[in-house]
Amino acid sequence: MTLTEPETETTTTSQPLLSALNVSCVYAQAGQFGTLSRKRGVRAVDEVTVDVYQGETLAVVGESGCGKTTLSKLLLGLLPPSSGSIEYRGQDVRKLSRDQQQAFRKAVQVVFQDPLSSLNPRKQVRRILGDIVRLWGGKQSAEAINQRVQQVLREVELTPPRLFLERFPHELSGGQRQRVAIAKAIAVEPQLIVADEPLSALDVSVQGQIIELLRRLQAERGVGYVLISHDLEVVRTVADRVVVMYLGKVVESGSVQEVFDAPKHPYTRSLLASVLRADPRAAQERERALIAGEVPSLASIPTGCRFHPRCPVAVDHCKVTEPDATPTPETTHLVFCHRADEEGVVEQIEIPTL
Amino acid sequence: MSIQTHANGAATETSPLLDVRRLTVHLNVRGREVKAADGVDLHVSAGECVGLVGESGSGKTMVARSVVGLLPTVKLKRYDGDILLDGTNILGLRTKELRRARRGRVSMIFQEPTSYLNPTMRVGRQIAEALPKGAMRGNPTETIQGLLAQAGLPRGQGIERRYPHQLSGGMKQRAMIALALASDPKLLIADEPTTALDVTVQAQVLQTLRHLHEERGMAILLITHDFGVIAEMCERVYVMYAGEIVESADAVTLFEHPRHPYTRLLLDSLPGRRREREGQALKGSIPDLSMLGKGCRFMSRCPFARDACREDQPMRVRPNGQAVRCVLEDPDQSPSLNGLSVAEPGRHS
Repeated sequence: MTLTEPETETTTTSQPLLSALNVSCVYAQAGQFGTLSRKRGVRAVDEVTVDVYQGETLAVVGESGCGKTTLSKLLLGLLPPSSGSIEYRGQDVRKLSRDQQQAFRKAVQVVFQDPLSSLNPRKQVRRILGDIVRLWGGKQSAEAINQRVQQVLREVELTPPRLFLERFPHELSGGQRQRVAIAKAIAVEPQLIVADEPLSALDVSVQGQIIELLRRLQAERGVGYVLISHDLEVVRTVADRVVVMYLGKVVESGSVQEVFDAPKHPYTRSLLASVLRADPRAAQERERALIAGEVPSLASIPTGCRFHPRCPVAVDHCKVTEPDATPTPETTHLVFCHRADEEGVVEQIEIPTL
Repeated sequence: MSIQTHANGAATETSPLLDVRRLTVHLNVRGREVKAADGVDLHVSAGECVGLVGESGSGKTMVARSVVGLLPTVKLKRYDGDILLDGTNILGLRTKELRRARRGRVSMIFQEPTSYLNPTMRVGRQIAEALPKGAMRGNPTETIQGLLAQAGLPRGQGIERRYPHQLSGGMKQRAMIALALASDPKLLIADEPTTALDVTVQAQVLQTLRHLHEERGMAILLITHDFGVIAEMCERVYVMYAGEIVESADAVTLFEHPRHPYTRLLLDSLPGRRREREGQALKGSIPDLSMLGKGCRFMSRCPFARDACREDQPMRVRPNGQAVRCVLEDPDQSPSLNGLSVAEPGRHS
């Protein structure tokens, strides 16, 4: 198991490790007579293009129902895209040879939100991790497996390992369980970990510990993350690049600085305006620019720009035409909004400095 | 916005609306006795918004449930202390008396409105059930629509005729709020009211609660783990750890000059604050409540633990009203708070 060197010059310019190209996912919906139909289906992810580079942290943010979890499943190859493709090192994952498929599965690992339901409740930690080491590490002695399991436990700071080896998932605290889930992912030396809300089930102090751990693993091993999250403060702290999704579409993407310091899309701005800061003085001084309403159902997506019914700066044009954004060589900041470039329009939605 | 004095709030400063004294709740957990709340002192004055913050397992929900008489009967072993609601001790009252004592004084809303709304009954009827008898005469529909409107569900959408499953998460929580308002309570207990909601909806629901607090002068006891929610809403805050209150202060003081090491480290582990100053992450986790001995419960995780921590600590009240359960507040223990990243030792006697 050799780790590819995370050379900084090549990471930013070379081809992405994993990309979603124009990928859509339509869930079939039951019709009148119980027949499943994709025609009437729900487009959970709609023509999304995302690149993930070696060693970076890409965050996908949005409210519930925006398609971020579906996107993570597509990236992992756990769901077949209805159209478009997922490419691993430039190759469509559906057309990989058996060996390449193995390499892809090994390189891209996953951590779920709720470790209690993603860890087998009938296996002790020793077996949960041992099985993975055996599966991916080839033929090796029981002692070698044991050594490796202990090493991985040390790496996620479950020390001394002997205290944890014989425990079942239900005998661990929430934070310890999430550490086991992370141990499971790093045991095979992946290049990318797709983490779907890995922190939201945890207490604040434990969240802090897990963030530290994820960062340390990144610094030491050059592992990249796709972090699916609704917590903008966490994203601001750990991510390099951000993709903001709304109703299955990307509405804004760019570096953390671009998206958080100078957000251009009204939805991103509204999201940031909703974040509660741990600062009572600021809360007293500020009137929030709140957006009205909740995320509409995916089954009845608004025409034109999907955000227009809730958007405070929408005009008639927004109701008809879907906005597009074209990447330019100068910037990676993409904004899917008709009014983003108009002077002083989106700035009406005031945002706090996060 | 959130910190305001109310005309009716200042007047009743002398006797609080809710006065919890030395509340101890003993639970039976897997055959072992656990004190889920231990000697909790807490008060809420009329028209005040008070926060009770703590991590999971700190006992904050137990305190909230004690106040409305919703302790888990199966696990409950016994309780000590007093809970004075408008001067009446409600701890240990029988169901009927308890109902009378609660009516018009206290209502509660929960994290998951889905599990507290009746799925087989239209929202309007559930609210009608909770209305006082007099209100049913005349035009109850008008009253119900009025309550829903106050909770942020506008008239004319026929919300009262819908079933809970026909409402979105945010709307359900608003229906819950309308239901809580039906008895016109002086105090609303909100246990993690926005935890299950999206950020944008959370901000909307909190705004509604704040309007109710400001316009009706309704007192709120807000239980949450989220310091952002506390900062947004509360005037005064209690911090709970492993069944005990460890610090209390007004919100600005607590956020700007926290004194208990737990509060400090917890605030430092918030992602927003970590960026500003390199805070150290809080290590370890809450101790097993059934294995507690004497002394400070935070000792095992505290970077300032010393021998004196093995003794139980009282709440020491500072001149500014901030109360802290920590040996470092003892004038005899030479206070050395160096090394903590919150660089504000304050005026120490």
